[in-house]
Amino acid sequence: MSTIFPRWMNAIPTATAVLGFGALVTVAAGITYYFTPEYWRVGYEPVQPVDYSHQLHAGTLGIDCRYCHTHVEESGHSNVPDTGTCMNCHTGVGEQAYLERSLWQAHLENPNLVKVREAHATGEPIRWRRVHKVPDYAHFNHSVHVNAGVSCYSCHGRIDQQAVVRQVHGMGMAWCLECHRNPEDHLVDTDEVMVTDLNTVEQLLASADQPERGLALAEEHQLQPPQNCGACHY
Amino acid sequence: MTTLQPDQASALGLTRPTSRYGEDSETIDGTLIDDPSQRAPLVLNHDSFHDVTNTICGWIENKTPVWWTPAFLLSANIAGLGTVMILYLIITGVGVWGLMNPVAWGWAIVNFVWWVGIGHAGTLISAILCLLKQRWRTSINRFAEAMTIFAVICAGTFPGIHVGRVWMAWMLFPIPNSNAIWPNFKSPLLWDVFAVGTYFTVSLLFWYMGMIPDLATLRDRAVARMGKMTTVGPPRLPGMPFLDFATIKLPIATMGAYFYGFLSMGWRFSHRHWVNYEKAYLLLAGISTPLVLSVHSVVSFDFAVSILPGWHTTIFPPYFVAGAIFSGFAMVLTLLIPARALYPGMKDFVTARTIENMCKIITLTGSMVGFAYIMEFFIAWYGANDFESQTFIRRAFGPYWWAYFAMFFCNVISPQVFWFKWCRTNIAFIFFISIVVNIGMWFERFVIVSTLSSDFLPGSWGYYSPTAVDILTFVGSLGIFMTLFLLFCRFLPMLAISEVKNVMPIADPHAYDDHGHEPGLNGHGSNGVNGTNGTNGTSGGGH
Repeated sequence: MSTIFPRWMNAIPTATAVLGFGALVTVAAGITYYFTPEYWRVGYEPVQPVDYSHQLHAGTLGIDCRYCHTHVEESGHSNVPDTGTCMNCHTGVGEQAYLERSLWQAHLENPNLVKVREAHATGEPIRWRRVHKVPDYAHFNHSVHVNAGVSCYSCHGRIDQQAVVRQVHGMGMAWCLECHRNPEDHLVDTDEVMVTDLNTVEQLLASADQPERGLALAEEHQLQPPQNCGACHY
Repeated sequence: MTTLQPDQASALGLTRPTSRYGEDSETIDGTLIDDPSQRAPLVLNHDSFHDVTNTICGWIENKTPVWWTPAFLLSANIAGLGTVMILYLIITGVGVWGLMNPVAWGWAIVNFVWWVGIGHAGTLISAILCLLKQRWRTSINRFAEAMTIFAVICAGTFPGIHVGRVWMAWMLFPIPNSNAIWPNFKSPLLWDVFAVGTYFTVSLLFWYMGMIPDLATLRDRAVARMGKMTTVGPPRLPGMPFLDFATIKLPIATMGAYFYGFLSMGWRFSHRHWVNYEKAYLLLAGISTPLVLSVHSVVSFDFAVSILPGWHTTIFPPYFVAGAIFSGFAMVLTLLIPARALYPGMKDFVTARTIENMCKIITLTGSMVGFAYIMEFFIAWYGANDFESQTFIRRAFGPYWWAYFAMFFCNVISPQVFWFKWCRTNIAFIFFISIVVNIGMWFERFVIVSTLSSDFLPGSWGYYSPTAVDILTFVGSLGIFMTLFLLFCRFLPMLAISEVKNVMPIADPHAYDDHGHEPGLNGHGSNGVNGTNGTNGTSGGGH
């Protein structure tokens, strides 16, 4: 009988196995890298209607996060302040005493502040863009976390160094569970250090004895982060 | 009687006495021999290996049978209807089914269990009967294995679509993901994924590997005819000349040579190939054997591991396995009997005795299932659990009494007719009973699933009924099954050619030795009519 297939076709099974394995590895690696919130979400930095700088207010001026986000300790939702909060300082009345004449003039004409004052005068709110989005089927409670000793830093990073707020963590379910399974890496003692003191918190969490300290805190406060579905999906 | 000389044997081999196994009322085609000193022949009217090759390959190589195209079009349309129903479900959501509280599992799980159960006959025939050296299985094993593969494909569809969001169906498998969660390893639903997945893989390998020598035979026969053009098209009907445009000439033989050549993976019928083949066959038979018992046991855990009355029973695994083999053999008969009637020469391989043997297995497994039904009731009473007894009373006399009695009649009473010889030798009657058994086994799964409608709290009881989408999806799965099956009949060797050759007298080097016995038809003894002396025992090739 004559052969109908050329000799090179003998390589097909081997080639299929090798290429198949290669394709499998490529697809798995691609999915592992690209199909994650770490790839799609981290770095989200929308342009805001007003160029408000956390770096200036929280960093340079050292204003506590809770001065504006007033209900973060009592409410599941961390509120974005209304323009009234801005006007506590930016009415132009009190500021004059602290600023030089030339600076004061610039301050009055600052287009961002013009927008804020306008909004305050008309009652039309500034439409801030939400940066940290959690799907509607997942519930996150700010007050529970803050009161347990999880700093703003653990989720939002060094927000006091950000001129424009950007997302620093993927905030996927794996990321949430990583902390719920090992909370000791992220707990600070609220009696010793304010959860809003991001610089100190960062250094503390990076220190070698953090796990030990965190475990003691978890023990002391009876912290048992839930891992059941109903904890977040309700 | 002296040993036949080779030349004499060849000369005698030329005469083919077709009346050798004459039909009569006692032995039907000559195979229903009750005399234990005689072995019934397994292959009739085929004296040489070449005859067998010609008959089985002929079903593929000859013109498409007239009944095939309409049957295929019908099945394919029904399959298309099922596909449309599945698409409708995916687009709209599982609300298009009759699922409700408390019956959160409806026809999808019923159909899944039914189809998986049907698949069990293939593995039983190809693995367990192989290890038990039941040689009559050779004529039906390829057929049954193909049925297994197609049944498992139909079964696998239902869990895939009933998850609701099918794009999340990959979560059935334990794949690392960005949610950092795994399927519940304590859940039998996950064990099901492994059990059915393993079953499908092993069955597919077994089926395909067993087919390789036969595919090579088809390849060689197609290579011999390469270049020949074949006219294909619709039948030339009088008064319909406009259909002539569809009649075209195609190099079917050349296409076949490449198709079967690719699939036969370079098989050359060398002895080394056969040695490896036999080893692999035995290994796969060994691997498949526990699967026959394990797969449906795991499927039964879906129910038995939960703590609902009527489900939480230890009898479920053996009862499911018996039921699976029961329904599988019924389905093999349902498909085999028409095929046997429609394909010329198939009756010579699938003899009346083979059919009778299958009827006996149906009676055996049907009785086991019947025993389980009765035992469930006994335990419900003996266990003195109010919920359990309430569930069983409602099962038989509650709102679903009709399903229970349909199940009981079809599965327990109907297979008992095979105690009578007339019943297990009358082909039309066997066909009827095989369908009755299939219906009964479907009802068994329905009875089990509808148990959900009444659990502990009477306040939450409900009545489940399917929607048209439920019903049409099920009908569609039958269409998918039949479409695949008809394609198999048309393009792949329906009988294991090389294995059938192995059970012929000519394959036995001593088949025609004279030991002074009465002329036998197989094994030791001589029929003194034909055959070659000292034929090599290995199964032959396709030439």
